[in-house]
This record gives sequence, C-alpha cells and structure tokens, in this order.
Amino acid sequence: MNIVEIVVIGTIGMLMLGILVVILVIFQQKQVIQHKLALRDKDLELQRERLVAVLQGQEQERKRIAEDLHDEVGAQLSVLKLNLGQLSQHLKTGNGEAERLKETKEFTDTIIQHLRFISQSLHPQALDNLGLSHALDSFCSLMNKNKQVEIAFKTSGNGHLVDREKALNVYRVVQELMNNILKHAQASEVLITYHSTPSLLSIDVEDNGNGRLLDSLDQSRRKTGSLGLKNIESRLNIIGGSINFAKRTPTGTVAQIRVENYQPAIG
Amino acid sequence: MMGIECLILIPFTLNNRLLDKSEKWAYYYLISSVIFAVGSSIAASLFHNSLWFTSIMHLAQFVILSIYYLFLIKNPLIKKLIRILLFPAVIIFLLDFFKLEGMLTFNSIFATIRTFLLLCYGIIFFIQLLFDEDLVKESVFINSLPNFWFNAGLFIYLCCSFFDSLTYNFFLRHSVGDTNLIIPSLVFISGIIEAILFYIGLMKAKRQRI
Repeated sequence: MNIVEIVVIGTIGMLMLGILVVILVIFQQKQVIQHKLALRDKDLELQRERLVAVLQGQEQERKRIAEDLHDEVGAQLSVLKLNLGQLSQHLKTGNGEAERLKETKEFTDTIIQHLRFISQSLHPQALDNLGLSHALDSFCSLMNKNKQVEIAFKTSGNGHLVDREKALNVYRVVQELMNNILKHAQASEVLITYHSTPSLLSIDVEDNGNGRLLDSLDQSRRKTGSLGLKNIESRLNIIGGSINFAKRTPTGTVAQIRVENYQPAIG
Repeated sequence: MMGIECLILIPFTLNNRLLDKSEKWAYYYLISSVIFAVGSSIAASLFHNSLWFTSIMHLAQFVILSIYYLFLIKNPLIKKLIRILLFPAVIIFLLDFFKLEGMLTFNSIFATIRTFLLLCYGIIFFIQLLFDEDLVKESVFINSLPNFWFNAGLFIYLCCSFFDSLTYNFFLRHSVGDTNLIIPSLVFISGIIEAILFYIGLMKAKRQRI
C-alpha cells in the first residue's frame, strides 16, 4: 500500500467518521429527550392516579357523611316532627303553647329541608339511582328552594347512560360552577342545558350576571388552598373532558362543558 | 468550489437579518470562503502561485471560526483556551509562512494544526449540546438548532480535509500521478455536504425566527 492509498483511505475514513459523529450526536440527544419525556409522562400519570385516588376518597367520605346525615339525623328529626305533631293534638290550653309548638314544628321542617340539601350536596343520591340528567335536574330544584337565583334546567337527547365516575365529576363541576355564580356573578337567572349524543356529552351553564365568573375562578386558582378553576380542570382532565368560557350576550357568562366517550364501557 | 460557495452565500445574504450573533460568524466564514476561492483564482492567474494566499486565508478563517466557537462554547475555561490558542496559532503560521515551509508552498504544518484545533472545537460543541440540560428540560432537539448544522457542516469538511492538509505539501513535492486527484475530489464532496448542512442550518434559523 503506497502513501497515496493510505491518505485516500484515511480521508474516506475521516469523512465517514465525521458523518457518523453527526448522526450519532443527533440520535443520542433524541434518545435522551425521549427518555426524559417518557419519565415526565410517567410522572404525570402517577400524579393523575394520586389525584383520582384523593378524589375517590373524598367522594367516599362525602357519601358516608351524607348517608349518616340522611339516615340517622334525618330520621331522628322526622321522629321529632311526628312527636311534635302528636303533642300539638294534646295541647288545648290557650296560653300560646300551641303557637310555639307550631313554630317549633315549622323550624324542624326547615332543619330537615336544610339537612336534605346538605346531604344531597354531599352526595347526590339521584346520580346513582336516576343518572346525571336527573341528578342535575334535582340539583337545580334544590338550589331553587334555597337561593334567590332562578335556575332552569333544559335537557335533550338524554337517553344515553353516563359512566358513573364521569357523571360524578361532571356533577361536581356543575356544582362548583353554580357556587361561583352564586358567589361572584350577581346573576338572577341561570340556565343549565344538557345535551347528549352517542359520542359527546355537552352541558352549558349560562348566567345573566356581571360576566365576572371566569375572573373569579381564575382568582381562586391563584389563591393558595383555593380550588376553583383548578378543581374544575382537574376533574375534567381526569375524565378527558374540557371546559370553555365565553361571554354571553347581552350579559353574563356561558360555561361549556364537553365530555367525549362518556358512556360506560361495555363488559 | 467557488460556484457552490457563491450559491450558498445568496440565501445567507438574503436572510442575514435572521441570524444571531454566533450565526453571523458562520456567515462571515462563508464570505471568507468566497474571498478565498475568488482570491486564489486571481492570485493564480496573476502570480502563477496562489499558495501564499491560501495560507493567509487559512489563518483568516481560523480566526473567524475561533470567534464563532467563542460564541458557541459556554465553558469559560475552554473559551479562555480558544482565546489563548489564537496567539500560538499565529506564531506557528508566521514561522511556517516565513521560515519552515515558506510562502510559495502549501503550509501543511499550520493547516494541519488549524484543522485539528477546529475539529476539537467542533467536538467540544457537540459534547456541550449532548449534555445541555436546558435543551433536555425544554425538549429541544439539537437538529432544530441552526448552529448544530453549521458545526456539523464544518466538522465533516474539516474531518475530510485533515489528511489533505497534512499531505498536500508532500504531494506537491513528490508527484504521485493521477491517483492524488481522489483526495481533492473527496474534499470537494465534503465541501458540498458542508454547503448543504449550512443551508439546512439557515432554514432552521428561518423557521425559528419567522
């Protein structure tokens, strides 16, 4: 092998080496980033699982409290009401005792109603028994009894079953939205529209308030310990849903909740 | 090579505003390459020897590329080393140009040392990119960075021209027939690859900033 051949081979070798180095550098860095991305995805998945576990624990605890309130305290109050009713029949004196007893009975009624409302808010029994649409309807009726805001519920195409976990999360989102409307929007009317197609569940929450619903949710997100929009987003994130806020004409805000593939898995 | 250098210089000149400080030095390197090519032809036709001009341009390009790598390399120690190495390189050039090999022949000693140093800078920059935590954190692939492509182009060209620089003077003195045409052809191919990679780098810069 003469010197020219050595140099030619050396040059070809160097050229190949140069190209190889460039390719290796690209692939190596790509692999590092892909590995990091995979780790990040795993971490996110773990966080999501933790969040689901926390929310499930929270729901179970709420259910237990709601049942205790309804079955025990509620039942005891009902007995108290019955006793008061019986007592009123025996009271014949005209010293105002009958009047006071009537007031006490009415007060007991109010307590029972409040208890039902709290129990219903803690865990909507209708959700398990009748489904999301009816649970939301019942929630609106309950809210109408207790608040100054007129809440209307409209539904169409509600023949589709909603997965239990998804239904509960959507219910909580609507609940959170309603709380915020009552607190910040200064609305007099709220309309909840429920619509479902086989692949998409849509719920619109419209209010005729000051249009500051989103601001208030955003503010509560920034506050430490306050859940607000973060809670709504986390819940929708878990079930693969989304929320969009828009200005309503002439006044107010429209919150549009969308959940795809919401039906329970078969089998 | 002159045609390719001029050709690649057109898009670079048109998109000159899109280049950042370090990328501008890659552009200056391209300008120097065109001056190198044009000047060599003129010197060859006027003085029948353009090798003195080649040596001067090698030095000029070494300075330009050293500044380019000064912008790219983050490690302060290596930055300092690049600055310091400029002086011994100039001394070697002067020694080679005036004393060792002379100005009328190819200065292989300086050209080889220059190529070797630039290859080292290129490798250091590759390593820096590989271990750049910021890039990994932000999931930035290095093939989206213009400077990666410029460095890759330079690296491939310098890899290929290393043996050429080392032996050019020897081949000038000892005629080896037609076989020594293979080496310039290979250098020419690496030059084309360099131009293509520079163009890719320019496209990446364009995509980043438009």
